[in-house]
Amino acid sequence: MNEVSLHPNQIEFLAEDSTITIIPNFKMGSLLFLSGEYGPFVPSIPIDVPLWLAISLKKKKKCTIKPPKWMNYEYLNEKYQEENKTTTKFVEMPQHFIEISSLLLSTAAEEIPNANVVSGLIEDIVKRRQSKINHSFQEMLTSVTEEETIPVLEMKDLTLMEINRIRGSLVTGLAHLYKIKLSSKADGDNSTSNSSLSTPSFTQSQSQK
Amino acid sequence: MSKVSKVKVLDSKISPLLKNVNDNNKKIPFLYVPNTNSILYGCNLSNKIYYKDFDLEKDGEKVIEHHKKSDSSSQDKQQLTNSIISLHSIGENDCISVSDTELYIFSCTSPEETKKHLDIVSIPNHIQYSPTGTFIATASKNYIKVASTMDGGQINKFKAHEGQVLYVSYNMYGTHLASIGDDFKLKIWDTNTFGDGTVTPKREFELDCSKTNINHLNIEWSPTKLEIAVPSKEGVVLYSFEDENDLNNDDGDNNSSSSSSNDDNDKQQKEKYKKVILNNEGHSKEVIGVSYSPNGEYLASFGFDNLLFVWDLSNCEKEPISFRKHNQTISSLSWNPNQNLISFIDRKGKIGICNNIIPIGSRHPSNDNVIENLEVQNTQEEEEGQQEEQEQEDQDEKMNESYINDDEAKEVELEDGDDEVDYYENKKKLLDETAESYHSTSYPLSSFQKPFQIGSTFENVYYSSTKNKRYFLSFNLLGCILKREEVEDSSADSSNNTSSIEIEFHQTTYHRKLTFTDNQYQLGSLGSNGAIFSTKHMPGNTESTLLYKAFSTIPNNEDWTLSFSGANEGIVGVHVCDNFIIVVNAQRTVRVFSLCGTQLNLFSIPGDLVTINSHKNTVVIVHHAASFGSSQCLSALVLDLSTNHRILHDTLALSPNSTLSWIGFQQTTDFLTTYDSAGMIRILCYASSESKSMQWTPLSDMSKNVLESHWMVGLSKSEIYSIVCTATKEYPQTIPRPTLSPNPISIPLLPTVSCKLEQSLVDSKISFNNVIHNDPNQALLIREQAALDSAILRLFQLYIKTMQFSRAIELLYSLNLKKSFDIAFKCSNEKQCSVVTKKIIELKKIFVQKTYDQPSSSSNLTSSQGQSPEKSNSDLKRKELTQSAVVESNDSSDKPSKLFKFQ
Repeated sequence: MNEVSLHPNQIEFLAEDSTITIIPNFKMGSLLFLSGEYGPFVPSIPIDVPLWLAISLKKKKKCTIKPPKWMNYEYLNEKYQEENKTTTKFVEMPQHFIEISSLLLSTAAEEIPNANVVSGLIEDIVKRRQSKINHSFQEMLTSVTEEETIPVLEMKDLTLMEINRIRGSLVTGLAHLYKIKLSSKADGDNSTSNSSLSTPSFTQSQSQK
Repeated sequence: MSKVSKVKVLDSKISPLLKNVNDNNKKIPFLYVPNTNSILYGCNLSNKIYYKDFDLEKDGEKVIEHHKKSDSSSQDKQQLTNSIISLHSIGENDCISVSDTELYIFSCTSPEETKKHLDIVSIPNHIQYSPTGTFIATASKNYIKVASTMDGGQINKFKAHEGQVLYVSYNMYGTHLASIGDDFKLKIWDTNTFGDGTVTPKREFELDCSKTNINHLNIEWSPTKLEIAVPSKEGVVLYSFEDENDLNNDDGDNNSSSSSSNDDNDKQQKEKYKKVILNNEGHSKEVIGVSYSPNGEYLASFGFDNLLFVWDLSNCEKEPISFRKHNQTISSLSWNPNQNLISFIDRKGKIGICNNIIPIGSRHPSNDNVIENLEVQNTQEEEEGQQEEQEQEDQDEKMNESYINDDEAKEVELEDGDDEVDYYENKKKLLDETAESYHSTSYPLSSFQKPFQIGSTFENVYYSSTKNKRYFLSFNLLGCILKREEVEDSSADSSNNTSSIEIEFHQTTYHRKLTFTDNQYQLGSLGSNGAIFSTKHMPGNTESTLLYKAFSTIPNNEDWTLSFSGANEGIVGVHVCDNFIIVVNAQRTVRVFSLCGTQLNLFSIPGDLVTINSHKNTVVIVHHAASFGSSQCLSALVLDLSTNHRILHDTLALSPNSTLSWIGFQQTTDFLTTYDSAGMIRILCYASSESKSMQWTPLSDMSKNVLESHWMVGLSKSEIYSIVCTATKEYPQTIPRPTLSPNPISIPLLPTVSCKLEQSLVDSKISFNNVIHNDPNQALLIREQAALDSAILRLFQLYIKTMQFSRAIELLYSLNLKKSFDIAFKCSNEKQCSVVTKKIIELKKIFVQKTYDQPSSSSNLTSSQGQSPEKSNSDLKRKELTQSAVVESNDSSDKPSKLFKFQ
């Protein structure tokens, strides 16, 4: 694997930079960070801070977190229904929704209305999208024949987490495929059976993933 | 806020027509279609009939238009417009409408099935079905005409009144017809005699009403017995008859003597009827309309005093069981056939809906059940009557934020979440659609506002019928006092209740949460050093108790209670500020206690208390001053309790017909700020930098969004903190704990291109004026001057860009710093506006001369400086350098030197 793939923790780290509204219960002046100035903190007055700060304050019981607007049953249910409508296209989701929701559900579940339902819905959406990704790869790879080159696969509205999840297997898989293609071209006429054999074996592994 | 439920007011389709008509002399036909939730109405200015179905979600309004506009030629001749004069219905498929030329029988569900009857007598005034729907009675000039609904054939036409016959009404069996005419007579006719040659009235009564109103009157038979309700100057007059024989018992003398009213009793006995007048605590002006409830138990009446009363007919001596106030004279009224609800239309065409008109414990107006729960009724009504509102509420809950508020909020949305925009855009559209039909809510304004505690929801919750009430005794920027009332059984034994009070702080480190049981306190105030509780002054309760809970670290050291009795000492308001406790009683006496309970002072206020608030030791006491007609006038007394210095005693500026919802001080500046029920926030600030005169400046209009209401908690220099509530529930709930939402201050200037910049200019002017009057130090003054100048310059820049030179020059006169002239110079030079540039140079010369020749003329900033111009020169130069950081500018070292040439 020559491509640099991010570790999920690293992506979570990136997601922690997104801002979220908290309601502090302490009094403090402004905090100066590289990303900007946050504060001053006045009890009960909502303020926007980076997610990591919100989580660390929450763990110290210094604030309550106001869940993002998309983190409610109505919105997510709507998105889930939309997601179910198509088999190939993806619904646009809020940035880092997987990471943010998992972080918030683990630290501040009591502040999210219907936390159980919300977490279930998010899981459903993630699974649905994952299966769509797998499905479209399978489609793509089975459509590869000896004559045609690897077709272009267009996937919009994937989140960073999802791209990262498939990056490793996809890149290596495609590299393999490319190698086989090259070798089959070099071998000439007797290689037809070879390539057609190797392709299904790859899809097999892909779908197992 | 007050015990009187409010009337929901909706705009109807005819209200635009009636808007500019001052004296419409016709009653507006308006009625519920029996057995449905639909309203049928029209007006004499249009030929359309509107059918408003509350069961449908939206667009529940159908236009029925079978009265075609007559062509212009005939209109010229006869002045006939074919507009709706009267409507009546005995079911969805049996409706009649009449215009001045045509009469139609139609079905409101399928208006295309319309039968037309052409032959009507002259111009009708009113029309009514007989109860079975076989006949139609039409009232017109001199005559009543009865026709068959089958073929429109005339059954009878007889001369009924001298002059116009204005209103006809069949009794429940259809055996008798009552009519009124502008000969001021009420006549009752026997329908069985209609076939005969001459028809004579069975009874005749005098109408007691003024001439101008007679066109608006209506009469109605009771739906259950032989009783007719007639409006009069004195009140509602009920004539009741034992049975039909009594009515038909023709003694032959009823025509002759009925006009004389002297021997009323004799007549009553002779003619066997009973006359009752409903006027106990009722209308103060003439009654114009009456309507029986569907079960005949109640009677609604409305009059010129804009009041609507409901009478319980089982006891006619009693005062009305319910009333509503509207801001217009009601034209027609109709009971909902199924619900505990009355709808009416006023003379300006606005539809009003009065929910829960019959109070709990009485029988339902349409069936025999006893009304037990208002809450259920409420939801029912919302389902059928207020679909729009219900939806709005749902929407609000879904989004639970104020992002739909104004354009600015929308912009923020766009920035921080592109992917959410579509979703919220759609929602916004939906909301806008629903908002159109929802127009305004009018509050019944009892002439005097009752006393209330700032940040308390007691008044909102206490009178509701819910069992375990939760309300805030106080909610401010420090924390909240929550009262939980636990009623164990419904019996009135209040000693068993285990209610409790909880004091919670927003800043958790400030003090731990305090909880204690209590059954008596209904007033409370939370201060930084302690909380004060008190019983509320109620009629009949002479015991008063005060409780002070101190937040000091020494436990139980400073808590004290004080009980006293006496009818004159009923407490109406309490407040605790930093070092003092204020208690106001019903006798308008203000008592000042120290925190530990020593009585320090007492004084009287000139009117009934409205509310108290404080900031540190500065207290504002609002009291009633006077009232002009129906609107109140409030005065605020501001005093510093530590020195007893009276800072201000002035009248409050409030929106017309509004009540005070909040009063307090802006943090940091200590300006007095009010928030009224019309949604306007006003601040009392310095009017100019020269004199210490004050003015009320509108700071922000919170009523922009009709779907939400703001429950004000406080404000800082740049933001207003409020709790966002829905338009229907205007106070915060205790669960979940409400969160404050900051709203930017936006001074309500007229929306022009430069409005945003003008806003910031006014804003910085207010802040500048404040600083000037508070003896600022040099640095602060210069910072404020720079801030003001930068606001001016930004506006200046816009004017230069948009080539509005005269406006730009105008602004130059108000600049405060020399440096600002340089920036203006640079700005106009870049755009090559020689006119402005010249003016700048000229003005700068004058400015510099003024500053240096009379150092202390304009402000006290140069007073401390030495007399030598050289020294002040260098001083100013240094100043300019320091402020160059504040005023955004690219500092160029050669600029100042170049500009010194101008001196």
